[in-house]
Amino acid sequence: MDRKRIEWLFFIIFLLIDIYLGIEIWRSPISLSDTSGSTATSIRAEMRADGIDIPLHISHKQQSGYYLAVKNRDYLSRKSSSLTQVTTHYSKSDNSLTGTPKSLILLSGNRKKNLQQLEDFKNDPKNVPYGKEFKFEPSMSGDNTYCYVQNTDYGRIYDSDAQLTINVRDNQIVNYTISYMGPINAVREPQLIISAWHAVKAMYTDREIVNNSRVMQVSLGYSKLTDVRGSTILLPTWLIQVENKTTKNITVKRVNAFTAQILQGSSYNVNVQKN
Amino acid sequence: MKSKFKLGDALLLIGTLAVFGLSIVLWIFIMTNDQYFNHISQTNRVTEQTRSRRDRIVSNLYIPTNSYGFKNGQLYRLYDAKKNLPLEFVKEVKGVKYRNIKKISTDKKEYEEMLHDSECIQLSFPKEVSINLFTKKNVKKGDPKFRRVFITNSNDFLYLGNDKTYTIYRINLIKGNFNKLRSYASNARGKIPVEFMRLKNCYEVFFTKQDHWRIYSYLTNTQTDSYFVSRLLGTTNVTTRSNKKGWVTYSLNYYTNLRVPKAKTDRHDFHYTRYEKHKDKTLNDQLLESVSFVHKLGLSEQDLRYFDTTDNSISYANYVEGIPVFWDNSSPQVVTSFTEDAVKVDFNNTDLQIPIPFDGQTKTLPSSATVMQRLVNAGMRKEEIQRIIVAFGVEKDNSHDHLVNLVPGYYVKAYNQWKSLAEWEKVDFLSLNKYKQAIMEEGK
Repeated sequence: MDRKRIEWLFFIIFLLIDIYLGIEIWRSPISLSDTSGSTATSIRAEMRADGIDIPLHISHKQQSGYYLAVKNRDYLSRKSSSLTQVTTHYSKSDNSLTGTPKSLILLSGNRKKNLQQLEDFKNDPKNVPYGKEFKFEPSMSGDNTYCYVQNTDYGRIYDSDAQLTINVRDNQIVNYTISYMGPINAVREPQLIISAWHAVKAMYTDREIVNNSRVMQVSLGYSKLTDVRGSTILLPTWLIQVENKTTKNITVKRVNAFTAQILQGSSYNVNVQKN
Repeated sequence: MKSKFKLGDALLLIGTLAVFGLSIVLWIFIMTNDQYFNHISQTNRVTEQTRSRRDRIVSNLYIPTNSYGFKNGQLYRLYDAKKNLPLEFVKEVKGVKYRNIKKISTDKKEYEEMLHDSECIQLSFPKEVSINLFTKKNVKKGDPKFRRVFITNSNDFLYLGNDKTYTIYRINLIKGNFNKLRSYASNARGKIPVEFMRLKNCYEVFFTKQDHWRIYSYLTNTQTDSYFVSRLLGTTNVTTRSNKKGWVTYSLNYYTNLRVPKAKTDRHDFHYTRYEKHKDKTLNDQLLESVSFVHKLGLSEQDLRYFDTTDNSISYANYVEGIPVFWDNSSPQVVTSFTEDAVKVDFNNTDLQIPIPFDGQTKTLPSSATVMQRLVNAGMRKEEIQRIIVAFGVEKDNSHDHLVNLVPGYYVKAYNQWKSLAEWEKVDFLSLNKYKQAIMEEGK
């Protein structure tokens, strides 16, 4: 009698196990199609837990951006003759021009006023070629270097080939170095790009933001992608400035604004600015 | 009585052994089934990213691809290199709230008057989409479909039009503002004269003049088999089988496989199949579900747009300057098909990656009416023509390994298939029409 009871017990237990396993097998291929819709958790909360601060009002709005192209030409060497107030040296290897003022240009010492004086200096075509097309970029500037980037109808270009750096020492303009890409055109009509928040999130999920750091600024600009058929192609990128809370080092990283991929090897450190 | 007792004992023993054996078999099956564990081990971070990405893709895949407007009584296809008009529309409707929707007409004459209303800007989808997908709400029971958006001078409402049924819906808006779009439309630089021509189920845009169409170039990016195997099947328990016909099949289990051409064949058509039971789905559900599969492929989605639906298949094509791109044999980039027993995804593993500046090359194309006449002369029945469009065909450029040229040409959908004009002209229409007639008679 006991043996029979044990057999019944085994029979029922294994029957229930079979039913359970059968249901699991039947369910598994169907439920897979819904994985993308499962419960969301807050990435913001995860970032907070990792000691990462992000700006309060970071935009979630999608904007549009272009693929841009510029013909690879030498725009600077032929400009030397019109630069009557500076002595120039053109470097063919990196397509840049260095200008040293012929007369002493004194700056006031106050950073705000210095900026205005430098603005007047660079906008004068006798000093700097294409100077009006360059805009001041504080994140790339230091105590004695004032950095400007080429500005276009589509946005700013962040590349060493589209940059003006004015060097200052003892409140005097020492010299400047300029590289210029030339007139920029859109290759195709604009496309939707990811939001600033999406770019930060992509950086975080790719583990490009270290714990205990602060996202200081997120801005949109254009970066060089490749050279093809005698043209340089540029694409929209989110430039994300991250400060390490411990070391106070600031790093700028770039995220492809079309694909949300990190542009490897394009990050650079920022000199901390002292006023 | 005694023997009956013994038979019961024997049956119980057999039954117990059977359920015990079955549980071992089922347990082994589960333990060797990789999908089961993939399902469990999804991390929260990934699901968050996937979901927000899916939302973004939904809004990017299902957007209008062309815009039209009138000037001095002439209808033009509007184009501006600096302002993507359909994209502007998408941005402007993002902040809009939809109040209610009302069917206002199903009359052919009224529909045609609406199509030729010179006060309206029109935005068109390549094929009907559901109103609930557009509004992201269940604003209308039965989920009606539309293909055209009419923007009048008012910001308080939009009209939606369904070419197939001549139905016009009026949808009332809160916080609608299309002033920017109107201004961009009136200043659009590229204006190609067009007219609407009624085909089988829609009003097709016919180009009225012979014109020079630009040939664009792109650098492409081709993903390897292993990239798609890991995305679609995972990284463990995948078996590989080659056959002599030039295909390699990767299988995860009985349910899922990926068939790819052998590397040496220079083909790029990949086929993913997953067997699973499906209930009948509405168009909205199918459109939404197919997005998950498109995303899962990991192809570039920047220019990818909803292109067409045929029976249970939904196709997506890359759009360059409002014109779809066909890969070899008139194939769009991705086609998802839902049958009762399986989901199939056919796709091309090459992406259009980087656009190259236009170098001045063009191709002259005749007017759409000329093309239709050529098809009719070749034997195609006029009533079988469903679409006549200009699209790009992809051709290799020998100057660079990964460079392709997008060459414009006419593509025609008839008898439920897409083919280039040249391909259609080779078809034996006599046999095709007979076959079609026989099928129709069988149906009767």
